[in-house]
Formats: sequence, structure tokens, C-alpha cells
Amino acid sequence: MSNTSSIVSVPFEEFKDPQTQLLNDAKQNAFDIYCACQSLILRANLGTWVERPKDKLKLPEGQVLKKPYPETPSSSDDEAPNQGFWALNDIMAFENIGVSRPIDSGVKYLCCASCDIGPLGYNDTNSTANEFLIAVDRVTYSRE
Amino acid sequence: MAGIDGYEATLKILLIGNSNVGKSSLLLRFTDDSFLPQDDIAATIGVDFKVQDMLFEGKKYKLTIWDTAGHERFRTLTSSYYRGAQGVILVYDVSNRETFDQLENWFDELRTYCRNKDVVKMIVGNKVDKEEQRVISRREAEAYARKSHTLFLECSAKTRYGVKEAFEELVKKIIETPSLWQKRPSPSNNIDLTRPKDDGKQDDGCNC
Repeated sequence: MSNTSSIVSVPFEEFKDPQTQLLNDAKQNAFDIYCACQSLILRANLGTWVERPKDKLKLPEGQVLKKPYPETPSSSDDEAPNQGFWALNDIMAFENIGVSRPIDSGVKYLCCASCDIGPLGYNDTNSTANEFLIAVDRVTYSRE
Repeated sequence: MAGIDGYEATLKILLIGNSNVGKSSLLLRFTDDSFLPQDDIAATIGVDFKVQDMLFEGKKYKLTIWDTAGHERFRTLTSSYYRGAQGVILVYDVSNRETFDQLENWFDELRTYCRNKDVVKMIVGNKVDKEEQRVISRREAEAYARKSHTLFLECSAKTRYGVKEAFEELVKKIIETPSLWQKRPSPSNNIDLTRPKDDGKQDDGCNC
């Protein structure tokens, strides 16, 4: 973070108080958002922090994405059904993003357009709010 | 619109062609170094489309690249899929004559649904890495492309040969055709003065 000479994005875990550090006054992402591969996903101030179901990030049995996001073993105190996401209504607001075909439930997965890792988030086509959601803890952050 | 600042234009590019000609691999190959092995395709949830930025001659363009894979079997391609497209890549497999012969059907579909006569078309012969199994010569395909007034390129999604060039050449041609993107109003400030919009069913007619 102290290094400002080159773009080095910082993983979510390094923010001790993400809801303060990552948000601007409008509850939007204060930083540019990158994939771990350093592909720019979303510019600052375009996504709104929301709490949404996290189980929809889980792939159905027997189905994979080309480059699966490594599942972290869930800790026992991590039972909350929701987690933080950056929500957008306009897919074209992304700089770079891949959108999967829908699975049976109507969920489409979002993945990195450069390295294809995913899901980084999802779009539930059955939900009335047509939100594109990026999991706050699956991307990295940079002030440029 | 927020988020598209700094972009010269947003371009919609479609990949069409028979099943198994390698459209999905081309889409992935444009951005990634890994090749999609045939065995994996069944269980893999495919990519529908990608939004990507592309730097071309110092200017930034936002590309949306759409893959029809999985749709063509059901013939559900409709005008909504083609609507607003500036570039179409028609893909065939150089080792499979049927996929080449059926380009004509894809042109028919284009004529039906894609009413913008200026849309840039490119024929791409994929899988040139399978040189021993090749049944469509470069010369034959070139002649067909010339007759059809389209760009032409051979490539291999597997070795990556020609893939980047295909997208770059297509984008270059689109940029050289200002009518395709400069007059295109954004949906929010749409004006209906220039031409009928897509809700009408009437055909634009064939421009042969």
C-alpha cells in the first residue's frame, strides 16, 4: 500500500476494517478493483456494497468453471448466509468481465475476462433486482 | 454513462458458426494462454460473453464478445442477439468441410437478423494446427471470402496462431467504418430520426 510507484493491488484480507477502508461516502468502492491476475475489473466509485446470499457462489455438483476459484475451508463461525458484494446494474460498467451461461437455477457466474478464474461473483437472473455482484473478498484493490 | 469514460467506442462482436468449430476456444484464447481441451467442455459452464477493453492505435475500445455456443443447436438465435453488432466472426473448422459449406447458412441468418449493411464480417478458418486433416485449402476459403466481401483469416485457438490478429483486424475494419459506431446513439439518448428501430418486423432488404 505504501508503494505508489507501480500498481500493486491489495487482497481483501489486508483491510482490517473493510467497511470503512474500502468505501467512499456513497458506500461505493473507493478503489479500483482487480482480479488477482492484475486484470482491471472495475473502476472506483461504480459498485455499491450490499449483503447478498453467498451460497449462490457455489457451483452445482458436477459442474465446473474453466478455472475454479480456490474454495477456502469454511470456518465454523462463518455461518452467515450473506456476505459483502459490489453490486452494479450495468454490465457495461465493468472494464473487463466474463459472464457464464446460466445454470439451471438461473444464476450466471462472473469470471475474470483475462485469466477466466471464477466465480468472482454472480448475477441471479431470477431476482427482480438485476444485479451483477462481485464478491468483495475474491478481488483485490488498488488506488492506482 | 458512468464506467465507459475514456472509451472511444463500445463494440459488439459475435462469434457464429457450427458446433465444435472452436468458437468458445477462440473467445478464451483471445485473452488467455490456456486452451480449452475437448474433454473438459462437457462439464464446464461456458462463457456467454466477455466485456473487454482493447487498446488499438493508442485509443481504448470496449469490446463485448459473444459466443453462440449452446444456442445454435436450438436455433434460438434471434434478432436480439444480433442487434447492435458491429462485427461478426464466422468460424469454420479447416478439417471439416461441412462447417465450411454451412457458412452460407450463417450468411443467410446474418442477412435475416442483422439489418445493418455495414456490419463487418470476417471468415475465420480455425484448427490450422491439424494440418494433416485439413480439407479446406486456404485458397478455396480466400476465394469464398472474396466473393462474400468479407475479411478472411486462418488461425488456431490451440496454438494461438492468428487469434489476436483476427480480433485486431476486425476491430480495425470496424473503426474504419465510422457509420458503424459514431452515429450509434446510446440507449438513453436514442433518436428515431435516422432509421426504423428494431421493434418493426420489416426487413431491410438484401443488399447483395
